[in-house]
Amino acid sequence: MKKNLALLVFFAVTSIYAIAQQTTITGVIKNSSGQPVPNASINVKGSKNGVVADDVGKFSISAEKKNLVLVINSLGFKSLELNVSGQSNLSIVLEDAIVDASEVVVVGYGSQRKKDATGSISSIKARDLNSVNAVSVDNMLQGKAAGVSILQRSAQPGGGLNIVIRGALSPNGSNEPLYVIDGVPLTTVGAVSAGKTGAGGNNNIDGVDRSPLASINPNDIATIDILKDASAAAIYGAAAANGVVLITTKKGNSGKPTVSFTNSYSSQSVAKQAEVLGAKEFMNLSNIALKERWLFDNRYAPYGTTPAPSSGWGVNYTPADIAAATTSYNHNDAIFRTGTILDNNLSISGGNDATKYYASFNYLDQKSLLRTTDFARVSGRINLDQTFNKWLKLSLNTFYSQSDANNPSIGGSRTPQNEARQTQAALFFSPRIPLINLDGSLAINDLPKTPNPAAWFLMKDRSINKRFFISANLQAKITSEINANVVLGYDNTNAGRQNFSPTTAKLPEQPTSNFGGFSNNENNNFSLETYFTYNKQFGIDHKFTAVLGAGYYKANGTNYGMSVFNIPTDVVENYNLSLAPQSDLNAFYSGKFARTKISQFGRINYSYRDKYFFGLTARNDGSSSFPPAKKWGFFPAVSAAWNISDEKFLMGNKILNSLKLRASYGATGNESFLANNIYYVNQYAAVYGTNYYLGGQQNSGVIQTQLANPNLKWETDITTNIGIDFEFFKGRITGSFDLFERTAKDLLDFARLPFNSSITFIAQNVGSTRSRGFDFALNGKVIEKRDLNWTLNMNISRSFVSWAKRNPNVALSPWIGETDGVFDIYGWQTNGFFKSDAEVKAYKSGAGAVIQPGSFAGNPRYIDQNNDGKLNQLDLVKLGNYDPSFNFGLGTSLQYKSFDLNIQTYGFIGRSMFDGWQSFGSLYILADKVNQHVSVRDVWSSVNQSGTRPGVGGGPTEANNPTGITDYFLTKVNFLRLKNITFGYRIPSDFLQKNKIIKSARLFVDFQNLAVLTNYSGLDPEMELNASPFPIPRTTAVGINIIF
Amino acid sequence: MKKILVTITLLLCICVNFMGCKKQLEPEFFSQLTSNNFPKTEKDANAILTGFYANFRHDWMGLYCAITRTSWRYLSSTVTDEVNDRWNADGMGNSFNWGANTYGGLFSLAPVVARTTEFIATIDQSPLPASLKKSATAETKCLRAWMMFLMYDFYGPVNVRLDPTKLADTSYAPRPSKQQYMDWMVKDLTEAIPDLLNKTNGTASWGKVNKALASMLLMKIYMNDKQWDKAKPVAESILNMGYSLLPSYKEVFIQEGNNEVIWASPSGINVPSRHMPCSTPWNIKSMLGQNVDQGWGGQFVPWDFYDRFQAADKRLETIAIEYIAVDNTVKKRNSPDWGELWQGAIAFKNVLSYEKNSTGNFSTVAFRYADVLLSLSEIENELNGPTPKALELAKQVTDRAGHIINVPVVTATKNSFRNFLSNERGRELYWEGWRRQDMIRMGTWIPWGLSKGFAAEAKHVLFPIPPSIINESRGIIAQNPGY
Repeated sequence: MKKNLALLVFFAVTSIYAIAQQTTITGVIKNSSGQPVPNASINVKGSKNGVVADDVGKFSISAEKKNLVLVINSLGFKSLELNVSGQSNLSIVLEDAIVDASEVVVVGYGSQRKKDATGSISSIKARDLNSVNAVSVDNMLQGKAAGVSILQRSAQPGGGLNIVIRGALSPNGSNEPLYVIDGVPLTTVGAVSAGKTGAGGNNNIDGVDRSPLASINPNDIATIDILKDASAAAIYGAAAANGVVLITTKKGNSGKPTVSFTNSYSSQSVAKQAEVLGAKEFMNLSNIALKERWLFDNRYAPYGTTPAPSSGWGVNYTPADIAAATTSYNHNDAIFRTGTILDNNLSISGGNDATKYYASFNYLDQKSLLRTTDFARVSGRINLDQTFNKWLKLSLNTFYSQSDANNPSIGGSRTPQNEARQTQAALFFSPRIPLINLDGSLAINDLPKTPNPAAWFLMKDRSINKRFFISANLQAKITSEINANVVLGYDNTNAGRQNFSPTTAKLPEQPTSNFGGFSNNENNNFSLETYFTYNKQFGIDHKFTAVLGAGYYKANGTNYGMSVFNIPTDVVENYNLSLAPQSDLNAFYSGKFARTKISQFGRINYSYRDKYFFGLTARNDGSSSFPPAKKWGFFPAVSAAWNISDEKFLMGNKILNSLKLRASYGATGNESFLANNIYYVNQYAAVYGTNYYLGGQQNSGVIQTQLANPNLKWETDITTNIGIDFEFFKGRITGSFDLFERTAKDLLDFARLPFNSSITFIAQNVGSTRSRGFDFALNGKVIEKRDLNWTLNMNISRSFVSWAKRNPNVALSPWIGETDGVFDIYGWQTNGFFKSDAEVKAYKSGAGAVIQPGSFAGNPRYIDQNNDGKLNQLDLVKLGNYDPSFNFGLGTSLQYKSFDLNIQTYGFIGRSMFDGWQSFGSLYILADKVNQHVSVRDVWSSVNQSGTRPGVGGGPTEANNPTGITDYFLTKVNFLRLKNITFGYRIPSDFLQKNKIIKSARLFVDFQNLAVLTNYSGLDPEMELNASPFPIPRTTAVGINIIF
Repeated sequence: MKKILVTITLLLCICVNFMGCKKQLEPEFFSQLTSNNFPKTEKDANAILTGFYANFRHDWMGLYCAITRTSWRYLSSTVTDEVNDRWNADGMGNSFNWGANTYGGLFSLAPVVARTTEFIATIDQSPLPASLKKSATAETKCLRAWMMFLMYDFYGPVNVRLDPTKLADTSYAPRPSKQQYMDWMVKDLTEAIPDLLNKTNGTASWGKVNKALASMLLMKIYMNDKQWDKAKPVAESILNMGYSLLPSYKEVFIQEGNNEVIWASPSGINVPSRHMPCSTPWNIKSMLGQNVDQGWGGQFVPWDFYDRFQAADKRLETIAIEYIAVDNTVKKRNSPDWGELWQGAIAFKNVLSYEKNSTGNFSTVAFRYADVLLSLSEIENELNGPTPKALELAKQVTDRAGHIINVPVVTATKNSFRNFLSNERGRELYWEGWRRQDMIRMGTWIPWGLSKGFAAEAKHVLFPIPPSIINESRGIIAQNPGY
C-alpha cells in the first residue's frame, strides 16, 4: 500500500510538472482550395515529438510552449514551418508542391518527391528544353541527360535519332527506350512512314527517316523523366529493358485564363558542304585516271614490269573540251536552298477548383534546306482535369496532329554512282554542265548512268502522317488512403505515302517511263490499366505507399500499298493507276499484325523518418510473341536509399547540405527484338527473287523464310545501380553520380545454324551481353543574385557493351575474343601503301617470304601480325570500337536583369569511325567521269608519286581478309557540337503594366549548330556511314513569346 | 452508394485485366504463311516448287544472271578467256588472284538443297494426288541434283543435307568423298528422268526441267569425271528426244523456245535479263544495226578470243566490233576512235531479241542441242580418237557457222582434236556458262592462265571453301587442297 501511494504521488508530481511546461495545440490542415488534407505529419521542430493528422486533416499535439515551431509535411505539398505563439487552434493552409516541379519526379503509376526516390532518374523540365522551332522532342534532349546518348542520323525535318540509354545491349534488336505519354505506354511507337512501293528506279527516291515523336508538339511538354535503372523502370517490366521515357504534358491551373503565344521564324543554311572538283580539274584528273586505269588493267609499269606503250588508252575529254569548260557548276548549290521554319504556338490554360484545362494549337511549316523537302504540321491538344466530387476525378489528355511532308532522297552508304540518290547525284554529276538544258529538259551526265539531281525536283514523294491520342485517367478516392485509377489509352497513327515520278524525271537506271503509287500503314495501340495506390503513415516515423495494378495492351496494324509504271500520261499523276497497262502492274502488298500483352504490376515504398527508404517493384508480363509455355515473364526489383545528410554526424554541415546514397538491383524484360513477328512457327513468304516464268506466264514462288524456335523466352536485363545525390553550399552545387551494370540474360538475337541448314539463321536466346559504366551530372549556380544569375550544368557518361556469355552452339570466329566488346571492329592493320613494285617485293617476312605477292603499287601494306609470311584471318586484330568512350553535354545559362542567355553543347569522345569520304576520293571511279570529293587529288598514281591515299588498282591480298576491314581510314573521333545559343530579352514589367493586357513578353534570338569542334574529316561525326546525308543545318531563329 | 458502385466497377475491371489472359495471348496470324496453314494444297506445293526454280533465274542474284557473285554462269564465264569483266572481284577475277572469300557465293545453294530434301519428304506424306507427287518429286530431285552439280563444279564435294530425318541436326561432319557425292547426283537424276516431262518447247511448261536437261546434266557429270563410257549412252539418248539444230546460229537466241534449245532461263517483265546494262557501253546508241540501251559497259570479249573466229564465221553476227555512239560517231576496232572497244568486242548474243520483245523480255539460252553434238564428238574422240564419227558430229555445228575445219591438222591426234574442240566449244557456246568446266576438263584452263602471265596453279581448278564455313565447323570441314 505504501508502495502504491508513493507511485501515485510520483505520477501526480510529474504530471503537474508537465502541465506547467506544455500546451496542447489543435488544428485543421487544408489545401489552397479549402479541402482538408489528410494524414499530414506535424512535428515539433528540434524534437522527436510529432503526430499525424486524421482523415479530415485534424490534429492535436502537445508541446513545449517556449519557441514552438511546427513543421508540417504532406506528400504533394510544400513543407511548412509555422511559428506558433500563443495560438492553440490553428487553421493551416498547405501550398501545392507541384508549383516547384523540380521537387517531384514522375515514376510509373505515380510521382515521388525527388528526395524520396530510390531509383536513377533524370528529370528534365519544360523550362530547360529549347523548343524553339523543334520538330520532335527527342532532338531537344540531346546533351541534356547523363547516360542518354542521342545521335542524329538524319537532319531532315523531324529526322530520326538513335536514342540509347546506358549502352545498346542488343546487337540486332531495337535499343530504343519505352515511351510513356501521359501514363500510356506505347506498345509500338507508331507508323513512321509507309513503305515505298514499286521498283524501277524507285529505290532511289526513298530517304525518309523520321522520328516517331515528330507528331507530338514539343511546346506541350511539361516534364520528361527518364528512368534509367531497374528499380525505377521495373514497374514497366517487359518493355523497360532499354529504359523508359515518361513524357508528361502541361496541365491547366485554377485562376484566370492564361494565353501564351509564341512565334518564331528561322532561317537555315548548309553548315558544311562536300567539296568536289571544279570543271577543268575534273576533266584533267578524269583523263589522268582513265590512263592510270589502263596502265593498271594491262599491267604496264608501275603495275607491272612492261613499260607502257605511247598510245592505246582512252581519253575522256579532249583539250578542246577542257578549254571550252569555262564555267564550273557546283550542283550542291542547285539542290540546297536557304531553309525556313515558321513555328506558331498558341496555348490557353486556366480553370477553377473543379475544372482545369490546357489547350494548345501548333502550326509548324518548314521549307527545309534541301529544295525537295518540306514539312508542315498542325496539331491541337486539349488537356482537361475535372473534379466531380470529393472522391472522383478525371484527367483527360488528348491530341491530334497531322503532318504533310515531301520526303528527301538522300544517299545511303557507299551507293554506287548509277544508283545515286539526290544528294549523291549532286556530288557525282559532271561540274562542266548545268543540270537543266536551255530547252528546260534535264541534262544528261557525261556518264549517262548517273542520275541528274534535278530529276527529283519533278518527283513527288509525300508522307501524310496523322496521330490521334487519348489518355483518360479516372481517379477515385475510395478511402483516405486508397485511390483507384483506371487509365485508358488509345493511340492511332496513320502514315500515308504518295509518290509519282513523271516521264520527264526518268532516271537512267529506270526501265520504266514513269511510275506512281500509294501506300499506307495504320497502327493502333490500345491499353487499359487499372491500379490502386495506398498511402499510409504510421506514427511519425513510418511512411508506406503501395501500388497494385494490372494492364491489358493490344497493338495491331495494317498496311497496304501499290504502284504501277508506264502510265500513258503524266497528267493524272498517281491518281488514276488503272490507266497503266495491266501487265505493268508492278507492286502491290498488304499485311496485318496484332500483338497482345497482359500484365500485373506492383510497387511498395517504405520510408523510415525520411531517412531510410526501401522500394520493391515487380511486374508480371504475358506476351503473345512467345511460345505457349514461355509466354510469361516476371521482373522484380529492389532498391534502397539513405539520406546520409540527415544523420547526426552530417546534420547542419555548412558545406555538404544533402547527401543521399541509392542502390538498386532488379530485372526488366525485352521483347523488342521480336517486333511484329512470331518466331516460334515456320514461316513461308514470297520474297524478292521467287518469281519464275513458265510458258511465258509469271508464277509467284514461295520459300521458307523462318525456322520455328519453340523454346524462345523473354530476354531479361538485370541492372545493378549504385548512386549518390549531393548538394553543396546551400544548393549552389547539386549533382548525382551513378555506377551501373546492365546484363542482358537470354539475349534475343539471331543465331547461326550450319551453312547447309534449310534456314541458316534462327531467333534464339543466344547468350548474354553486358554494359558497364557511369553517369555523372553536375549543376552549379555560380552567381545567384536578384539581377544576376549564372548557372552551369554538365553531364558525362560512359557505357561499354561487351559479351558476357556466347552461344555455345555456334563457333566463334577465331579472331573474336569470348568477352570482347559487342561493337568491336576487327580488321587488318596497315602501314602506309606501296609506291612501287620493288617495295612490294621488298616487303618480306622474317623467313624471307614476300608477304603480299601479286600486290601492286598503290595497294595498302598490311601488317603480318604473326609473321608467318601470309596475310589471312590470323592477322586480324581489334582496331577499335563503334561505341564512344564518353558522351557528354555542357550547358550554361546567364540572366542579367531582363536579358538571358542559354548555351547548350553535346558530343562524344573516342568513337572509332571510318572517314565517310573514303569511297569518294576514288581515282578509279573518276575515270568513269563521275565527279569526286577533292580528296581524290591525294590519290597516289604514276603521275602523283606524293599522293597520300591508296592508288587506283585493287590487289589480290584483300580477298583473304574475312572482315574486309582495314584501319587505313579508321580514326578515333571526338566532337563537340554547339547545339544552340539563345539570347532573350524580357520586356520590363513596369512598361507592360501600363498596358493591362499583356502579362509578360520575351523576345529571343536562337543560333543552332553554330560550330562543331571535331577531328573527323567526313561531313558530320553523327552521320558516319551515310555517304551523303541530309546535313545538319546552321539555323538562326528569331521569335517572341507573349503571355496575356 | 455511388462510391461503392464505382469501386465495384473498378474491381471488376482489374479482375478482367488479371484473368482474361489465357486465350488473349494466343498469337494471331493475318498475313503470314506459317506451318499451321501452309503448305496444304496443290497450289501451295507448286508455289514452293516455283521458289526452287527461281534460283535458276537470270535476274539479279540468280544462277544465270549476267552479273552478281551468286551467278554460276557469270563466274564460270568471266574467269575464262571468253569474257573480260571489270567487276569480277574488283577487276581481279580473270587473274587467278582470288582469295579465300572471293567466290563463296554458290554456298547459298546449300540451304536450298536442304529445303528440297524437306519438300520431297513433305509431299511424300501429303494427301496430294499421286500424279502430282510423282512429277513434283522428279522435278525437285532434278533441281536438287542440278544445284549439287553447280556447287561440285566450283568447290568439289561439299556437305549437303539429303536425309530428311537429319535436317535439324546442328553437328558437322567431314566432307563427303567424291564418289559418294557423284553417287548422290547420279541417283537423283536417274530416278528423276523417267518421271520428268518430255520436250517442253512451246508448251505451258516451257521453263521447267525436262528429260533432256536432266540427261545433259548426267552426261556432263560423267564427262567432267572422264567416265566417257558412261557418258556416251546418256548423250546418245538425247539425240532421240526431238531436238535439232536451227539453220541459223543467230536465230537460236532470237526465237523463244526454238527446237534447238532444251532449256533457257526464262524471262519476263519482272524477271528480266541483265545483259543490257552490263555489256553495253555507256555511250552506245546502236550496234549491228540495232538500237540498244546505254549500259555500264563492264563486260567485253577479249580481242585474242575474238580472233579465234574465222572471218566468215556466221557466229560473229552476235559479236560487235564497232558501234555507233550517242553523238553519232562510229567507234571501231583498230581505228583512231576505239570508244570503249579498247577493252574488247561486245557480246551481243543475249541482247539480240531486244527490239522484238519489251524490256528485258528475252530468255537466256543455257542448254541446247549443239552442245550435245559437240559433247558426243568429244566422247567419241576420248574413247576412240578423232574418228570420222567424231569429226562428223562436230562438223554439224561448224558447218552451220561456216567455220572451215582444217581436217588433217585437227584430226592428227586425239590431243589435236581435243584442242580443236576446246576452241570450238568456246566459239559456239561463249557466255552460256560452260567455259570454265570445259577448259578444266580439256586441260586448257591453267595453261591459258599461265600464257596470260597469271599465277595459275593446279589448285585453282577448285575455288576455296569460305573460311567462315571452316570456322563454323570448328575445322571439321576441310579446305580444298592448296589453299
